[in-house]
Parts: sequence; C-alpha cells; structure tokens
Amino acid sequence: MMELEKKVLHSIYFVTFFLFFNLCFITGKIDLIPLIFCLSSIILISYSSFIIRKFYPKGDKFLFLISALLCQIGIVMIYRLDTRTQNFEIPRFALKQMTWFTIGITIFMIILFITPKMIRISRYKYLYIFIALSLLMSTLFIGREIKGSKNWIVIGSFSFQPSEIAKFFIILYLASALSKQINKKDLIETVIFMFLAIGFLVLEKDLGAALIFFGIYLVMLYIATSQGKYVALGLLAFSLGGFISYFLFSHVRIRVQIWLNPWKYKLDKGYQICQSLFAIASGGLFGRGLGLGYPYLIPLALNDFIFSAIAEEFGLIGASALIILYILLVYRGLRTAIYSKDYFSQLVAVGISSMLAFQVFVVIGGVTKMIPMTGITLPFVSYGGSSMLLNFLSLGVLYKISEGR
Amino acid sequence: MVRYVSTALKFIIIAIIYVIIFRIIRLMYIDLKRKGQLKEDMDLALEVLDAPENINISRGSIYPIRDSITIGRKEDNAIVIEDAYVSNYHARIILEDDIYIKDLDSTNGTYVNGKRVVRLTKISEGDLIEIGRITFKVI
Repeated sequence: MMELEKKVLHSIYFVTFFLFFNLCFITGKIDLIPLIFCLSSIILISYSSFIIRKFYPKGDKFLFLISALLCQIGIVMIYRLDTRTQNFEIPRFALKQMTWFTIGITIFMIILFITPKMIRISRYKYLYIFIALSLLMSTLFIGREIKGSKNWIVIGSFSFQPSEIAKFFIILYLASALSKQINKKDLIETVIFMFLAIGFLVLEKDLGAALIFFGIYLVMLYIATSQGKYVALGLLAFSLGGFISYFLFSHVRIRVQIWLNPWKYKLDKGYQICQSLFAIASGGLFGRGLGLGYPYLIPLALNDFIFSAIAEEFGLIGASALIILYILLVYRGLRTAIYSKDYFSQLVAVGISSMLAFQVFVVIGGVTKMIPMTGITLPFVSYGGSSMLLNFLSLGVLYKISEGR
Repeated sequence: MVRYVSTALKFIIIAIIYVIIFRIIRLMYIDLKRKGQLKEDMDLALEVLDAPENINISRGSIYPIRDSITIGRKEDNAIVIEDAYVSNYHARIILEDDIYIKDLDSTNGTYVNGKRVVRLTKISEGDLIEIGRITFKVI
C-alpha cells in the first residue's frame, strides 16, 4: 500500500515536470517561469503528502493525489492559454490559479486539523440550511450579473460565487436531516427546503448549479431511504419543472435551442459551443500537442470550456485519461462512504462524491453537446477561486471521513 | 523544433498519466478482493422484532452495527427510540473484538434473553434484546 502510494506520487512529479517543461518553449523562445511553477507545485504536493502521511496516516491518500494531479493539468492548461493574451509577460491567470491551489491545500489541512468527530457536527441541520439559503438568496439582492448568470457577489476586486459554497452546506443539511429515522413530515421539510434552494438558482439563471443540487438531493434521498419511488417521483418533478421553465424563462429556451441546433446560431448565441466542437474535433485521437492547437479561439476556454482545450491539445486519449481520473476520484469517495462508521458520515461522503460526479457530467456533457450547456466549472481543473475552495473543503471532509473518526 | 518536442512530450505525459491510472486501478482490484474475504466475520446488525404501533421505529427495520453506539430517546443517539418507556441514554453497544451491551442506568432496564443487564454483557447472534417496549434481535 505504502509502496504503491510512493510510486504514484513519483509518477505525479514526473507528469508535472514534463507538463511544465513543455510550457517552457511553446512561445517560441525559452521561458523559465514554468519551471518556477513546477518547483512550487512539487514542493506543495510533497510537503502536504508528507504531513498527511505523518499525522493522518489512516485516510485515503489517493483522494488527495488524484485531485493534486487534476490541479496540475488545470494550471498547465491555464498557463498555456495565458501565453496567447496580448503583451504576454506574466501568466496572470495561471498565477492566480496557483494561488488558489495553495489556498485550497491550506484549507484542506485546516479542515483536517479542526474538524471534530463527524457525528458531533450532525446536530445543526437548521443552521446549515439557513447558511445555504441565505448564501443563495444574497445574490438576488447584492449579486451582479456576469456572463448571463446573476450568481456573483463582487466586493472590490474580489468576486465569488455563493452557490459553490452553498452546495457544501446543502450536503451537510441533507446528511443531518436524512441520517435520523425519517417520517413523512421530515421528508416534506427537506422537499420544501430543496425546492426553495433550486428555485433561487433558477431565478438567478444558474441552471447548472440547479441541476447539480437536484442530482445530489435525489442520490442522497435514495441512499437514505433506499426506495426507488422517490427517485421516480423526483425525475417526474424534474421533467415537469424543466417543461414549465422552458416556456416560462427565455434563458432556458435559448439554451435548449442552441443544444438542438448550434450551427443555426453559430455566429452569436451558439458561437461558444460550435468553437468547442471544432476544437475537440481538431484534436483527433492523439491531439495536437501542448502549444500547437488553437484552444484560445474558444470563448471562456479558462473556465467552462477547459475540457475542450484539453481535448484539442491532448486528443481523445488525453481527454479520456482525464475522465478516468474523475471516475477514480468518485470511486475513492464512494469507497470512503462504504467503509465509514456512522450513517451521517456515510451520507456526507455519498453527497460529496455525487456532487463531483454530477459536476463533471454536466460540464463535459455540456461542452460536447450531449446535454444543453450550463455554465459551471470542471472540479479542480477550471480556473476559479470559489470552486477550488469548495472542492478542497469537500476533499478535506472526505479525507476526514476516510480516516474513520 | 517546438513541434517535435511538443509532440514527443505529449506522448510521454499521456503515457505517465495512464501508468498512474493503471496503478490506482490495480489497487482497486486488490481492494475488492480483500473486501470479499472480510465480509464473513463482520456485519452484525439489530433487527426490530417487535415494536408498538405509534412510535418512530417499525417492525423489521435493520440497524447495522459498525461501531460502538448508544440507544435512547435523545436526538444524538445512533438509534433513537421515541418511546416514553425508554430513557434519554438507555444502553450502549460496544464493539471491540466481540460485541457487548451495557445498561446506562436506565429507568426500565435492558434485558438480554429475558435477563436484566447489570454489567457489561456479551451478546452474540440470535440473542434477543429488550429496550422499553421494543425487542431487537441480533443478526
């Protein structure tokens, strides 16, 4: 076990090194900044895995290793896109992402240090739902509309997405509400709260997050009650809700129309998705190689469409490797749930794993035009502070559960 | 020049990522194999054999025991029984190498196979545990 972890860790160092080494000369001249990035990444990963091994040896280290590798792929891709900005001198976004990665790992460590026994935090279910709903509500009043969704709060030069953090509290709420023996009344209570949360998201035009909230709710409800009828009922409610909002909200209608035929709108509304499809197609089986493609032609390649950028430069096999890494991450999360000692931690672990799974499915499905595009970030890879923080927060809790306390 | 280096590095990078994936999947295989062996000696649970109609516990419910837990009327017990005959913290189940039950000075007592539990009592499969008006069977 120990041996294998070391081997995987060393392979991750190699990948990181080669990725950044490749970045050194994609601009045409030799550039040494990537090596500094590489060094700091490797130091961060080795230091934190040392701490984990020393103080929390019982947990599942692969959770951390896989996410660290995903983060490196993300930073490299963001750096590569940075080099195409005008008057490129410093990789502005990559530097920020590196900072978020560092902060994320710090949060991961802090969670490990301060979280009490999991069962003890299962009591405050109304506190969790209160935090989650007020976070979601806050954007309706003081939010600002960026990229068509009113789900951002901007304070000075700092902006964040409350719905990302709300996701975590929703999981805690559902886990504490459903881990007790539940009767009809409790069940209806969770339905009302979830309806409110998802309703706010639809009003803010944050459809991707609404979809994820709904998915998490169904999965956790099914795990807690093991009754298929709730899932069937939920899916029925979902199709009804989707049908109604198609006629009620114009932004929903536009998304669906673009999905059905992006080529018809290829110069305005469907431009993103068409560029994304072109990029994926031009990648082919083996990809063009880092720095040889044109991923910067996709709008929002840093955030939502980073998967298309990776697919263009690393091809089908590279993109599949990314998807397999996510599958393994979710598998490790569900394994944590199976081995966890109490019901509450089990539900939290299931919630977090299903959150990751749904998020990956919605983004990758969206950029490949399998389902309508909804703007959310690819966990650990996309550029974005709030999603990085949320993901490392969840990872910390998951690791804590896998420790068995 | 850049073209050749990038193409070569692309294959190296993807190859190493697949090596990582392969190693983790192999671990997955070892994991599943070991799970199969462990299955037999663990996995105890309490099945509700008998319970009054109007409380939160229904006949046939199964509570897996994976850790030491408490049973009682208060919210923070692992098994909550909302019954007036059950004390706030009624009994504790202790999981070491064997499984034990201990009465936590409850008003109405805990009974194993009809006998009142005074000190730590070892329980095993097939035993009947009575708490208030509820009867559990160890399975």
